[in-house]
Parts: sequence; structure tokens; C-alpha cells
Amino acid sequence: MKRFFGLLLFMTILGSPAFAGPWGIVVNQITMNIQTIDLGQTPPKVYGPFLTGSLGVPGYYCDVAITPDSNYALISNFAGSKVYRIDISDPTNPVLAGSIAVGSFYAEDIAISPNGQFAVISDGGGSRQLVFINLSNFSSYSLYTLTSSNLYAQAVAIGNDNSTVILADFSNSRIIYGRVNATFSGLVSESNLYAEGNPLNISISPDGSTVLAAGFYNLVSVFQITGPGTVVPGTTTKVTGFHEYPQSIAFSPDGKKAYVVGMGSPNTFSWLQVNGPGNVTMGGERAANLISYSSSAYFGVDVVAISPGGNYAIAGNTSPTTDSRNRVSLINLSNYQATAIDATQTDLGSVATFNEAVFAPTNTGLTRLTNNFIFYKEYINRLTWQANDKNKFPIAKYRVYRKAAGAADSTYVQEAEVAASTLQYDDRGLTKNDSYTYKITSLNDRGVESAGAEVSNVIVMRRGR
Amino acid sequence: MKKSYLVIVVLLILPVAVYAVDFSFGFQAGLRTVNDSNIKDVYKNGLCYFPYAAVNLFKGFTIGAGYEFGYSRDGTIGIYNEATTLKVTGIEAFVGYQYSLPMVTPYVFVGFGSFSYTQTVDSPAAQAVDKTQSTFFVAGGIKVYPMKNLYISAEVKYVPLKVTPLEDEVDLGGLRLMGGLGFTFGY
Repeated sequence: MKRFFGLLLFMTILGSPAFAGPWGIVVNQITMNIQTIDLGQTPPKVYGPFLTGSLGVPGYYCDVAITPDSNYALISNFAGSKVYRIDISDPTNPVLAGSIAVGSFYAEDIAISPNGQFAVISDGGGSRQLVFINLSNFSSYSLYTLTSSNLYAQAVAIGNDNSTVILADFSNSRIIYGRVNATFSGLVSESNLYAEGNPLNISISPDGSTVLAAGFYNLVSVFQITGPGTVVPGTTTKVTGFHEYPQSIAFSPDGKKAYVVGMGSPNTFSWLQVNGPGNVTMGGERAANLISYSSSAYFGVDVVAISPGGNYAIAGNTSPTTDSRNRVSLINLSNYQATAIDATQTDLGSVATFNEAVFAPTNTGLTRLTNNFIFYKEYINRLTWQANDKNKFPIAKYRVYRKAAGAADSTYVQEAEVAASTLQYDDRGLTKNDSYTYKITSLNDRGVESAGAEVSNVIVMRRGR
Repeated sequence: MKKSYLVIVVLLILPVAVYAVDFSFGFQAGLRTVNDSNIKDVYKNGLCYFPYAAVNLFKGFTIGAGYEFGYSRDGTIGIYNEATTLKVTGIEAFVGYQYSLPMVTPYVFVGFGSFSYTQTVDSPAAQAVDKTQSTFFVAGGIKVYPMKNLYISAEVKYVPLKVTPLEDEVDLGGLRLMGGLGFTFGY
């Protein structure tokens, strides 16, 4: 018996997922490869480097952005003029999943729309052009030239309305903004505003209301989005008081704070208080010194990222160097203690964070059943689904949401949560004319939830008794 | 409701009691069938019991009342095989004619009853079914007197009982095949 339990324990340990999550990803700019970091482990566990030699011309600037489903990372390559797509559904084994050559365009900052439909890439070479990529197929791109005369697109961000695109022009101290067009190939209603201090990077709050532009000359400009493609100066137009050149900026997941990495020796980490839409004040300047050193900073390269739970930030470096002291910094956001994440390379650059990808169940179906209680009938919608083979890590449970057929998605209400071994749910007690649409999601054991697989069509009428 | 029916029956019987030749009290038990195939599948046929009292008037004319109970059946119902119980009871009043021969008395009755039926289902989707339905019925049987005041009875009764408590009509009617004992007391 003891042997059996011992074997069981051994098998359990072997079968346990070797990850904790969430994850970080860092692009090493001189060797041009990536490393992934399991931020849930103590200390964080580093994987890689991966894809050395497969991500284009080494030694230049590049940026990384994660698709909303955490399935892919997009990585720009400045000198190689390419955008690479990497399958990170298994962060311990990233796989190259295509690339797009963007002509003579110097691909630098990447922004992905929150709904994952399109990406916009700025030109670090100082042109007036943008690249739009439709992410539904990731096979081609559209080149868009700004209509604003003599302005440049050097950093880019997309609002949570999936429409507002905002660009930072370092050279002219402007932001440019507009709405994406219907084919995700350019902007409409393009306009611009003054942004003091030569903005290097730009970020939009999760609720889509506040825009912060990291001005290289020691300030952050504040703007407010008042509608799709409409931007006005913030009620606090700028935050001053920085002593290290702000290069990169990111909001906390709840949008109540923003974090700034400044270029220096070492680089520094400051935080801002978001008081409301377009209303931002200094929270703590140089709250932490980072484990990286640099003497230059680059347009749009995102070197700070906040973990999805908002507990930690990771920071890379504002420019590629091989300073042997450089490591990715892990900043505890409760006390602003920065520690080095061991085994990361020294030529680190852009970083991003993500939850491990969780995919919705497949082959969803809905069968209308009639349960005969003799004096009356109960109508039942029987939902069925199958586990998604794309999930690399164990699914712990499934959730079923319901809304009235034709109603807005915001009216979805959680109906049930079932164990991963259950691939069916009966929505009971319905009347004959009830018509519902359902959404079924997968959750892993950390509670990371996939997008929903919708089902609403009645495909079989079956009478039970 | 049951009490009020009893009061009505007693009030009907009492005035005619002055004209009575004799009184009868009896108890019958037997098989109760159900017409509805769904009811039959889930709850099956069952037993029923029928205590009654009757006043035998002049020339074989009889009037009486009784209470039918005992049909309380458990089963499993629906696609989830959920536990369920169906219970039917009835308060009945009847008039009839009995033809007295030496030791044997055949009889026929027509009556009117108020039947209560309750269905419970152990299900989150169950609805309450607890209703009452009135109907006429017919019965016929024979009494055999092995002793002067004691008789053995055998009776067939048919109760048509179609009900629609919610959305579907269900036939709760059926036959009662009963036997029993009774006593007759004369003035």
C-alpha cells in the first residue's frame, strides 16, 4: 500500500504542470532571440534563449507585443524590416509561426488592438508611414502614410475601443491620432496635438480614457480620449519632476497607476497616480533603481510591462547594450523592490507580460430536449463541447454563460461552472419559447479564462420522457 | 374542501334517513387502474381503499357516500429519472338501486366525486401540481350475505377523470376492482 501511495505521489509530481504563470517575455536585441520567464515561480524561472538566428538581423531595436488570446507574440526587427509571429501557447517552447517582410520600412513599435483584429507598427527610421497588419490571417500588410504634413509616427498605441490609434512624434513633439478604417489599413479623421518634451513612447489606460506620452525631456504629457479617434489635452496636461529620461510607460491592469522607466545609470522606475480620465499626478519618482544601464533610448520600444494581476512589473533596457550588469528587473509593486531575474541575457530590450494561453472548447453543440413530467413539460438546452487540443496546460473547469438571443454581449451572465471532466451542461427549466445564446469558456487552475465559444442554434429536437 | 364535502353528504343523507329501511357500512379494497399510458408507465396501477356508508331506502333505492384513498405511487420520471410521487384521493357520493334476493344483492350506482391529485417531482425544474377535479362515475357489484347482517361485496367502478392542471391534459381515470366486507343494520 505504501509503495502504491509512493508511486501515486511520484506520478502526481511528474504529472503536475511545471509552470505557475503569469509569464514574461524579453527580446534580446543584440543576439536577436527571446527568453520567456515564468513569473509565478520563486524565483522566476527563465526559459530559452529561443529562436536565435530565426528572428532577423541582430543588433538593432525591436519591440514585442502579445495578442489578447496570448497565443502569439509579434516581434519587430528594425534592420531586417520584418515582423515575426511566434506561437507562445507553450511558453516553455516558443515556435516561429510566420513573418511578414514590410519592404523598406524600419519596423519598431508594435501595438495590437485589444480585440486582436489588427496590429499597427511604427517606423523607427523616422518616416511618415505606418504598417497595418490584419491579424486574422497574418499574411500581408498595408502601408499607410500620415496625412498630417511633416509629422512622423515613431511610437503607437491603440485604445480599448479598438478604433482609436495614437502615435507619438518625438521629432516634432506631437501626438497624432485618428480612427482605424474599416479594412484595418489606415486612419480616418487624422489630427494631432502638441506633446511637450519630445514623446518617445505612448500608452493608453485599460479603460481607454487616458493617454500618457513619455517625453524624453523629463515629463509625461497627459491626454484624454473623449470618443473614438477624438483626443483632447488632459485636465492635468503634464506630469513633471522626472530626473531620468522617461522612455517607456505602462498602466496597471486596473488603470489606477502608471509606471515609467527612465534611461540612466542605472535605469529608474517611477510611478504615477491616475486620478481620473486625463488626470494624472506624480506618485513616486525613482521609486526603484533597475538592474540595467543605458545611455540611449529608442522610439516606442516597450521596456516595462505589468503582470496581468498587477503585482509585479518587469523591465528590460531602454537600448541594447552588453553591459554585464544588465538583467531583467522584477519590481514588486507593493514595495518597489527591484531584483534581478537570473539567467536572462545582458542585451535585453523590449519586454511584455501575458497569461498562458487558454483556448475555448471546440465542437460546441446545442440540443433542445423536452422532458415530459406528464402534466407539463420542461424544456432543456443541452450544451456539449470538446476539450481544445491547443491547450498546452491542463484545463481545470469550464464556465457556461447565457444571454437572451440577440442581446448585447454585455448581458452575458454566468450560468454554471463544471469540472474539466464534464463536457456537457443542461440548462433546465426553460419554457417552450425561451431562446438563449450561450458562451462556453475554459479555465486553467490559475483561473485564467479563455475567450468564449458561442452556441445558439437549436440543431436537434428530441423528446425525452 | 374535504370537510365541506363531508358535511354536504351528511346533510343529504340525514333527511332521507327517516325513510330508511336499513343502513350499511362497509370497507372495500382492490386494484385501481389508470387509463393514461404515461401515468401507467411511470406510476403503474395501484391499490385503492374505499370505506363508505349507505342508507338503503324503500324499494331498493340507496344513497351513500365514501372516501377513496390508497393510490399513492412512487416512480421515476423524465430523462433524468427523477423521483416522483402521484397521489389521488376522492370524496364520493352515490345513488343506486339494489335488488335483494335470498343471500345475494346485485346493485348499480351512479355517483359524483371530487378527486384531489398531487404530483411531486424531486427536480429543480418541477412545478407544483396539487389540484381537485370533480366527475361522475358508475359502479356495479354484488353483495353476498353469508350471515344475516354481514355481507361480502365485489364491485367494479369506473371513474372518468380527465384533468388539465397546467398545459397537458392527462386522463387519471380508470377502473376499480374491489372486494370487501360490510354490515347492514335494520330498524
